Amino acid sequence: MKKIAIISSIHLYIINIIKKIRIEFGLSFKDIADILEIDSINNPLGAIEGKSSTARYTDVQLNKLARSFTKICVWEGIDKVYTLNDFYPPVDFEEKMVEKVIVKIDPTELGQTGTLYLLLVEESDAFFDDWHTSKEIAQYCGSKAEKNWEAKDFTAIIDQAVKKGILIRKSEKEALFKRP
Amino acid sequence: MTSRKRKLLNTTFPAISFDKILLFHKARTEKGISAFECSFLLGKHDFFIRDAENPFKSTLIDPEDSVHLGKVLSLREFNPNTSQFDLYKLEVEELKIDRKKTKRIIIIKNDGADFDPIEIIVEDKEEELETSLFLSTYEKVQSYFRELIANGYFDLTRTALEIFNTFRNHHEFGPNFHPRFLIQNIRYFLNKKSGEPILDNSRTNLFSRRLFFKPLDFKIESIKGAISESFTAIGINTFQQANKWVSDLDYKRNHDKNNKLVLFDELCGTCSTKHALLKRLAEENGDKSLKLILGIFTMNSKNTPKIKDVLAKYDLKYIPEAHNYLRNHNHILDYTGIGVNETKFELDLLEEVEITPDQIIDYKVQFHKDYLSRWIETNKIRYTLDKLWEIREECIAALART
Repeated sequence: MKKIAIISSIHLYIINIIKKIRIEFGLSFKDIADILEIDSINNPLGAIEGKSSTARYTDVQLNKLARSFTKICVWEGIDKVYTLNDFYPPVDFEEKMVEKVIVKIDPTELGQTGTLYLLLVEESDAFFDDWHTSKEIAQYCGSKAEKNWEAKDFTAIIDQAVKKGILIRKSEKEALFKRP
Repeated sequence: MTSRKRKLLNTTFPAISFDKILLFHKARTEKGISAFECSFLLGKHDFFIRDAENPFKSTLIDPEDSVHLGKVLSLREFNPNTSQFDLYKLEVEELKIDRKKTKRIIIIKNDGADFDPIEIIVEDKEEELETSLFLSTYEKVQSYFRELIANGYFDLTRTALEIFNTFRNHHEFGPNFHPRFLIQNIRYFLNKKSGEPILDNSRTNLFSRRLFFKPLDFKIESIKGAISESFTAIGINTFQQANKWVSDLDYKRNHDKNNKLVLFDELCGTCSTKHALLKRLAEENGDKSLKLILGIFTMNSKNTPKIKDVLAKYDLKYIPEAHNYLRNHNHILDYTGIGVNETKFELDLLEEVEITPDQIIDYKVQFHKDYLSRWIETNKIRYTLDKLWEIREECIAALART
């Protein structure tokens, strides 16, 4: 009975673009709330990406996100400076009220970080309920993303995921990983 | 021009919003489009852009207006670079440069900021800026405007930008067309005192943009049928007058809904009998564009506050309710006379179907019940159809209470 919210096509476009970049960078709702300096207790990002709420981003928030996404690019050695233009639709985009349909991101649209985050956190893929090696994780993510990834492509990404607490390592000696 | 008075003030403003306002200010002044012309094409109030350019006002250009202005000003990108600041500390010097004109010199005072002072002239409403765009002439613009009216272009509601684009796409005006004479002509066709008030601008769309359209109207000819005859007998001679008369009648259920002239006898009606009468009137007088619609909408405590307690009692967020109204081309006409906002109502619509005036009784009830049955099943509602119908009646009773 929960009705899908009706929002402007422009706001929906922006929400879906941010969602894709958020997942690509492996950022959770809480990470985004921290960037926006808003209290994450009431899960405001859940509302923005939720289908029954009309919540959306403001330019001030988009500016903060653009700054943070650019910083992430610098850390990761990616030559990209984000501006609001990266989040906005093209000028010929039609202005209309639409159902708030949040896009489902497909692993084939993502790189290694995004695919791991999508499967591990967003989709709670059961694969991560068991212990796996880096190689197995790389192969599994690659199979979903339709790419031929190797263990070395995931070494730093898995380390980062362990640091963030979204993966745990079995022991110092055993390089096996699973969801906490 | 010499400065007469100076005033120095300080304020703060969201940095990215301020940068965006400057970007649009630069683009519009380069093209010679005034703040008023820009506001008009945006479909907002006359001083919207002037307010947005005033750092002491809280008017911001939101994402929807940004894209819209991008279209108006033919910009490919319509956002400034990312700002390192969240908030600007602004020092604003206001200079009276002549009797009517004020200039603002704005300095961004944030630590680490290194910007040149910004100068903004506060424009009068009727200010005409110099332009390199193609102005055409008032007469030529009017000639094409009349052609559009004659061809039924304004039978549909249009935003100012849509009209502007129609001109820009016309070979005589082209993509570099300046909106000045177009806006003057739109105002002429709205002006009740010194123009030809053919257009109506009383509506806005869901983005609060002003809409322009030619309201449906025709002369009622008494010989066309019983309904036309009944209207003319009480001195009502046009469709617009008939709409007003129907809308002003009390909202009350009729005793004999099968009587096509019941409104004249009982001087009251509901959405179904009121709109069926107007549909029949249009039919009698040969109008084919007007449609009688049966719509199912979400009746909730927001759009119908009086039923809040009933919905809470039965733990329902809303009930799908049936409503009759008219549709003319792309817009809804509601003459129930209970203050339905047609634009907002459209957002609550779940389903609609065109019906004939004869279908406002049995067919309407059956259609409504069929919808409710499907709704109960799809949404796993814990009530039977009979119980839900009872709850609905309770809502209607609550509505009738003053």
